[in-house]
Amino acid sequence: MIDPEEPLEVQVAKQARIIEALISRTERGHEVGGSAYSLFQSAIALRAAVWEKTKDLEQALDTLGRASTELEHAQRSQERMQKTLADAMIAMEGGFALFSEGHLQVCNDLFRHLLPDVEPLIEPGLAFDDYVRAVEASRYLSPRDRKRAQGAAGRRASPRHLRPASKVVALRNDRWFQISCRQTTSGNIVVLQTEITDIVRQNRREKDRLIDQHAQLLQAAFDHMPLGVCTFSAAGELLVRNESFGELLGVPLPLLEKGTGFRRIVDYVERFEVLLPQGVDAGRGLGGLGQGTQAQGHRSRTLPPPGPNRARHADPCASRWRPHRLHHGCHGRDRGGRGASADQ
Amino acid sequence: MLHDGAFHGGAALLLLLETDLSFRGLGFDHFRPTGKRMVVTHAVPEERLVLEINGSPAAQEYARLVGVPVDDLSPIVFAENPVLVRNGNIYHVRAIQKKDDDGGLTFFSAIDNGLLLTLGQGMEIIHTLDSGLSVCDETGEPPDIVLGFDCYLRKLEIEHKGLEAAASEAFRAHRLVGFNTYGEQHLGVHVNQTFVGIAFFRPRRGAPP
Repeated sequence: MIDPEEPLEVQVAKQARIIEALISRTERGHEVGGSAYSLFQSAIALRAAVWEKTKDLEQALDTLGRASTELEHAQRSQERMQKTLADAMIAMEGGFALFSEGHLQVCNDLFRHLLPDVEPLIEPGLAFDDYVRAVEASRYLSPRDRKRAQGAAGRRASPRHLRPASKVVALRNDRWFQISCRQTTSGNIVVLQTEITDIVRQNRREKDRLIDQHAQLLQAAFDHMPLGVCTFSAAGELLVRNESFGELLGVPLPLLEKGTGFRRIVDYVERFEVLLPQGVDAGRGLGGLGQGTQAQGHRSRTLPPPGPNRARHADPCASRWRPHRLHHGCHGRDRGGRGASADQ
Repeated sequence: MLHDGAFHGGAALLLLLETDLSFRGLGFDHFRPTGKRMVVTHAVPEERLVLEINGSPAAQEYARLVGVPVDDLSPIVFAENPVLVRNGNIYHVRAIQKKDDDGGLTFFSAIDNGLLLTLGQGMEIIHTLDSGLSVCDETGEPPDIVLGFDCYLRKLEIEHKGLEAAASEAFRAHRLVGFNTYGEQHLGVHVNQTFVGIAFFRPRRGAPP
């Protein structure tokens, strides 16, 4: 280490310097070093450990980064789906709501606004059962529907699967909705509100049209039948009659208007001897009808008792009166008559 | 530091990078220890100044061990004959900056009294450069780019030996950009006469584009 060419004394002196420096350094090595060189040494000593930790940290960061990336992807895709769902819900013509695990998750505005008194309740998290109850109790249901719904609510033992999958509700303003509940495979409930007002109204018009059609057919048959038919109310007022009734009796049209009293028609017939007595009771039988009405004032007596009254026509025609009690407290009176024409 | 058109002393640039690229650190030198040893018998650590080695004036003793006259000591001699310190099984270069007028040696990095120094012997610099830069990622792909910090003393050696073209070729082949430096930081340690860099690879599979 030391130049061997130097004099021995010098070599010894230098060796002493070397020994001193080494001993001094060895001793200082036990102290907690603060010198630049000891920092360098510490850095080297720690390097391996730091390197290991750094690698672990890098790996952890890497895993975290990947997880975060995946999460971001998932979030982005979820956001996209939600946007698509929101767009689809807006575009829907009916109300739509999704209940997940029995609680409202998403719905569209139509679903929200259907029943104004239920609307404040419609927030994410609303329980499905609470929604059903609120709908059944809504003031905006037609009274008939609400009564029925409340009756159903009383009877229901509330097992979800027994609930009707779909029902029609009528609102007070004659709007009609079909509310359908569908259980999805993942256990969610989808509620659809479809407005069926147009269909209901169309049906109603169709029904009215059919009734009108039938009524016209019946009226035609009624008018052209050989019998004269006339109905009177319980109070004895003319309700309906056909053409033949007036023609066969020869009663003038003003007396055949709706509301004409039975008594007036009988009076007219008696006065102008349209009917001639045949048999003992014929005329009296008719005349007694009105008097009985006046005298006793009892509904069951206002009209003649059942049984044919035969009368003779002046021109001459034979006719037969046959009163019938109708179900609604009115009487029908047919006049069976055969044209007893002069020829016959 | 050159900043806003002016140079600033006592300043540094700290660069924090966030990237989706995968990357790894590089660090190597091209020396191995010889059997020649010396002990620092007098130093001023605060000034990185060594006044005496083996009880003799530092420059004179260093020149004797290297085998050159003391007056011929120059940066290129220091570059080609660095002194190494041993820590465990690893040797680190303690590079000499200059010979002082009073016969002392000023170093580029921390030094201390009583240190045992070993004279280093250079290996073929281009060969070590090429093998040190031959890195790849976990899929076997070479880096897209290497940000490198190569010691100025290495550059001196390369120039002295007329190897600039070969070095440039190696840098180009390994897609390297960077600087020549005085002192490098590698894994938290201040080192001399090394190449230190970061190799950037393509993003790992699954990383966002």
